[in-house]
Amino acid sequence: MKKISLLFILVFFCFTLKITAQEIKFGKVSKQELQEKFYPLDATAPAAILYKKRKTYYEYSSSTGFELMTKIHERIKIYNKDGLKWASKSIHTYQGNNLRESVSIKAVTYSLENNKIVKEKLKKKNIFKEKSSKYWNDNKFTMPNVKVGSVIEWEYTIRSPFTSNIEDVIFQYKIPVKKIKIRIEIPQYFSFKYQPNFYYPINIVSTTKNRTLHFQYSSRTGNETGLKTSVKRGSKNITEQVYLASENNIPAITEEPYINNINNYIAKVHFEHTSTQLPGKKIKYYTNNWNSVAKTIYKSTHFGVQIERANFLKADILNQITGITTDKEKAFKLFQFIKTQIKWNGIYGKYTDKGIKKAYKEHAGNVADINLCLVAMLKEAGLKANPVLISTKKHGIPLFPTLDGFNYVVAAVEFPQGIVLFDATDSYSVPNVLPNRALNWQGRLVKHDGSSNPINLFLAQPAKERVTLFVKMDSEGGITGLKRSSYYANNALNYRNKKAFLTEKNLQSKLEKENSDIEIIELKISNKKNLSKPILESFKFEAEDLCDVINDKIYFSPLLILANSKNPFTQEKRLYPVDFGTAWEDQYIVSIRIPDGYGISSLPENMAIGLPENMGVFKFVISKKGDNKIQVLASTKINTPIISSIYYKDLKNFYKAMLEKQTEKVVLTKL
Amino acid sequence: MKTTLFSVLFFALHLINAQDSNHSILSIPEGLTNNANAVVRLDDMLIDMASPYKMRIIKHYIITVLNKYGDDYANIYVHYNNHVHIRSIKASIYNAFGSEIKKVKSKDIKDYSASGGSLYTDYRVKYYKYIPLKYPYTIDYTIIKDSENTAFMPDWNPLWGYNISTQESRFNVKYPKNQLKIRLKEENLKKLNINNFIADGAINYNTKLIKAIEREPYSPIFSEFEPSLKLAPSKFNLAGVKGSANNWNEFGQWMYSNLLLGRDQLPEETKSEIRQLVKGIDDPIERARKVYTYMQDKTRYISIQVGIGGWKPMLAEEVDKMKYGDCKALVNYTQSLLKAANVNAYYTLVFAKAKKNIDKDFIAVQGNHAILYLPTPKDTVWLECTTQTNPFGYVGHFTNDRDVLVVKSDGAQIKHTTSYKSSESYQNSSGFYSVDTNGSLKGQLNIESSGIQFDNHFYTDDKAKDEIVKHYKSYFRAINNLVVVKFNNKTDTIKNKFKEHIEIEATNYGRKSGDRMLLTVNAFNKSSYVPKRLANRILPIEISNGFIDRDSITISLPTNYKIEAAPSASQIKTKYGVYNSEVMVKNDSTVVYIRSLTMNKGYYPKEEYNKFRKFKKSIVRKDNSKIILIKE
Repeated sequence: MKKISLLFILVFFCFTLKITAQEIKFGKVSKQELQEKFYPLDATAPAAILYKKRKTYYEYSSSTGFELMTKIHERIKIYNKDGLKWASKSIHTYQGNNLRESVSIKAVTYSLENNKIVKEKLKKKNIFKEKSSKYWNDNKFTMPNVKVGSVIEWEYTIRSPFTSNIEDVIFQYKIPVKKIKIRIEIPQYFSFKYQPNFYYPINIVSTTKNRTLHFQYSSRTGNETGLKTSVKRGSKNITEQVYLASENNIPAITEEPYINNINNYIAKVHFEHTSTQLPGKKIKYYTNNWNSVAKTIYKSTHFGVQIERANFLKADILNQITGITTDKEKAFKLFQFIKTQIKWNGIYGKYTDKGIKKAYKEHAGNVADINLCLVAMLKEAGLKANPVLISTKKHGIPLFPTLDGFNYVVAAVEFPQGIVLFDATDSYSVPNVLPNRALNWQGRLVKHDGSSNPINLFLAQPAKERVTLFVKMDSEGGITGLKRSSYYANNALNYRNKKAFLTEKNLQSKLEKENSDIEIIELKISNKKNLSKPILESFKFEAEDLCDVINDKIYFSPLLILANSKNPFTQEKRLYPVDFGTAWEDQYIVSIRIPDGYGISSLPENMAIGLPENMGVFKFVISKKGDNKIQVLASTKINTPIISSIYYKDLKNFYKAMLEKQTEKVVLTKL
Repeated sequence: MKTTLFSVLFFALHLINAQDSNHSILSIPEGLTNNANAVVRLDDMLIDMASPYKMRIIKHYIITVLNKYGDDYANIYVHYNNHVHIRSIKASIYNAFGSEIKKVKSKDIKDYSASGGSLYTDYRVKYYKYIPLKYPYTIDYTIIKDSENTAFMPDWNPLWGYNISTQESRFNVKYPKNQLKIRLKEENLKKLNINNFIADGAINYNTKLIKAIEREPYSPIFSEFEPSLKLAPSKFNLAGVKGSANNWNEFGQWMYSNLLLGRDQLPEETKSEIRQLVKGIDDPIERARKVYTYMQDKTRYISIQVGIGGWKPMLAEEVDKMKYGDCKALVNYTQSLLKAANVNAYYTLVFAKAKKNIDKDFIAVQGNHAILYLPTPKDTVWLECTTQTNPFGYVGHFTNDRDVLVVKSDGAQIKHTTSYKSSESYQNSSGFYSVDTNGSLKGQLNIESSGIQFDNHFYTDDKAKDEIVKHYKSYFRAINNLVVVKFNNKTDTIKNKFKEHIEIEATNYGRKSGDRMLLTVNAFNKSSYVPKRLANRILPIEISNGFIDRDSITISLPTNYKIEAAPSASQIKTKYGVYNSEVMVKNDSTVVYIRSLTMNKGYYPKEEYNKFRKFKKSIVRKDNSKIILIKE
């Protein structure tokens, strides 16, 4: 028995060796691949990329010069019905400045029918080209004759005139990858540098090779007899930088809740264009460090130049700040003013779209149109204002100096007390309170001379919620009460965006739902528009179902409607950090008057627990006040906006203990 | 010639009207801003048919948006393709006082593909969205388009939706009376103050002052009470295919011969494969079952809509080769396969998703989905052909209990899809859980579901493991710190029942308080939803699907604790449904919890909303009942 299995292992081993040693060619799909019932390393995978090969290189011709070619060969196995969706594909091609990318596609489906391999080619007429925006075309198709068990294969080449944009090399997908090989060949005229993702490092081997470029040129010769033009051929030896990577068995990426952006964590390599030096021309540098990135961005006509063009704003600025003496007030006044003049069209961008002048006139613009206009105004008003480049949550964390690393910009003003940040894309944002989308890692402040330095974006006070609750309980377990809450910083921002401007009726029913289906009697919201003050919400309410009256006892959680009962962290373990957006703090004070004729027979015990490294703390203090009153102080504080996954267990247990405490019961007994 | 002149005049009048209209918010009549995020100041549509096969549509809208929740009503969307051509889009924005603040230029209007969930469609959309500086504001826009799809004449819908009111709505149709007739159907117009004028060649409806209504829980879908006028021409054009119909039979014949006929050819190999497959089986249902599974294994759903392909199915041969198709293609293909198996089945049009009937009194192209109708002497079977997992003949939320149109070569008929009785839509849960002295729970549960409830559970059938775990964490959301230890699910594809076995664990389920422990008895099937309080209910109450839940759970109590108090048995009987629950103490350490809840499908008057809500609320309260245990 033992012998047989050993033999089997040996055979299997030789077999796999043989497979890996072979070059995988288009069309050479094996029976084994078609017979495979599940992916050996992940039996639940609906499909797997058996092989992916990418070659990116530059083609040269005398007429068009260099063109960037990306050739992809991909072979996918479909294991179950859920995997069939991998048989549809969309290839994006770009166009702009009268230049466009083109793509040529061939694709085949292989299936096993009566133990024979059956091939079905994708026909040209079944490839649909669709213009999806001004700049993008989608080339869409779905494979013919695909069923569970099929292997599909396509090979396509994108020919691109945009020689400085090498698309990110992606190694990881929502399905596992068995084998992936990449090869990037870059002629000596172009310099790129690359950065693998931190969470799944890819080993890149770099070498060089020689290449001969062939070209044609016309030459004119002239003498007494006349002018003669002739086409001549020439060639030139150059060197090319070659980057190689080869990986096996990359697991599927899995989504987890409370992740800022899953793309931060997938295995990929980013190539960034750093310089170009064409023969006979001066070398042109693009980026090589954060400073030069910032400098390059600043120099753009859609960035720095915009800030210097504030002349047209002079009159309006004067109008706003005349009579105001302090710089702080000036800044706040202009910040508020710009919010009423340009509304955000929902489009991100570090570069202006319309330009600040036009955006100002048309009252709408992208992020840069608005916030660079603000910088221009603040500067014009004599303040030390500068733009701060940001990469939004959606855009991911820039680990590496690239122009694409930023997609957002806000304004910063230096006051003697320190730097204050402003984002005028959100009507309700206040100084230093940035909307959640912008709160990602750190920003980069760029100055007029192009110099720059990193800057902490988490300048705001914690997002605080303070609640006081006064409650009177009757002997049926019914309660009447008054809830007063105040919301600060990002909590106020969210409240203003999501709730404050609902109709009273809608807000009331929303709050009734949020607060354990109580009935709200009088609702009042203050400071809706007074952004310098916290949002104040207060209401009187009645509730019948918060206490259990059983025989001669009443049971209830002393935090009543404030008690949280759901642990958001239900997963056993976690790979990626937990992102709370900002530091935050909830403070609850509850005062309960118990019904006449009842006495307190049991109270939960006090508790204080913390997270490691002072990342957070929960405190719960409950006490009797006289014979008929109970007072509770409960506070939760999270000091770190982003908590690393190594503390996930601690965080999960922290929540568990906190929620258990919050739902522990007080027992009252009839006297 | 005469017609053209008339339409020019008509259009000129139209424009003059537009300039007269007042854009200031001061002229909004009282009452229209209540509950409203936007007010339709003017909705004026003219449909000008030059022939039965061509129409010009001129829409002129003035909309005042009162707050950010009304912004979407100011968006301009205009679809077009090779049969629908946009002639012009003109738009201006006005401030609250009625002064023009922006003229929309053609470069402000974006152009997108309308593919959405499809792989490809030839429809595109012109789109404009105004970014407001201030509220309120008013948009005034006019769209002119020419359409060859007269089979889809626009309806008149004077009320645009929830939280939007209408100041004035006008609807005009001009058509060549010698060439065609137009059938009209009014719906829910009685309650409005309508002026209309109907003559040969001209239709005119208008109304004023419709107040905004709000979305309410348990209400019928909007289209059921929406005021509207529907139009169907006796002769029409559908993406280049001409037709005429005055009754369902004529309509069916037209549809059959123009869209379906001859599209059912199959390669000989496939036919013989099918014959082989059903060989020796006599029962047509059993034959169909075999064929259906064959189709499911062989195909997948892919939507590609180009031109008449939006209505005409892909050839069966083509589906056979490509192994994909949209609903029409897969229905036509399955029908062809069934034919090869000597089973007759029929192409059927249905409104899928929201429960909506094909209007039997209104002969026109209707529906948004196709299914297959298979009548047999002993039973009627409906087949959904776009999923690879749906059991044979199972009809769920997507298409159940509604009128559909069955198309045959000699005509079309209205039929009704499967409607389950409450007793058929059951969910039976039986199981057991124990709680130890720390309050930790360990439990096992078997759930069997059928009828419409099958749909709620069957969801997990083809999902990946972590998806299923996620589903159970949500299903058992009343239990904190839940760990799904094991599960095992099976579909009974003969009786269309779904059987689940789940094993779970959770810490701190029993809540300790000094010497006592509190245990919420109903751990596995606790209701928590109470519809919101409403001061003044406007719409009737609808329970769209009836069902019954039965639970029987044995609970093993922690040692060293005894029962101090247990909930008393309760029964709540209303016309909306019946709730029963009881805790039976078997011995010191075992209790049995029995619960049942029946909801009765139906409409109930709006005046009863508070009573209905009270019923829902008492269920939630009863489901939250606790056993109090005390240390011995």
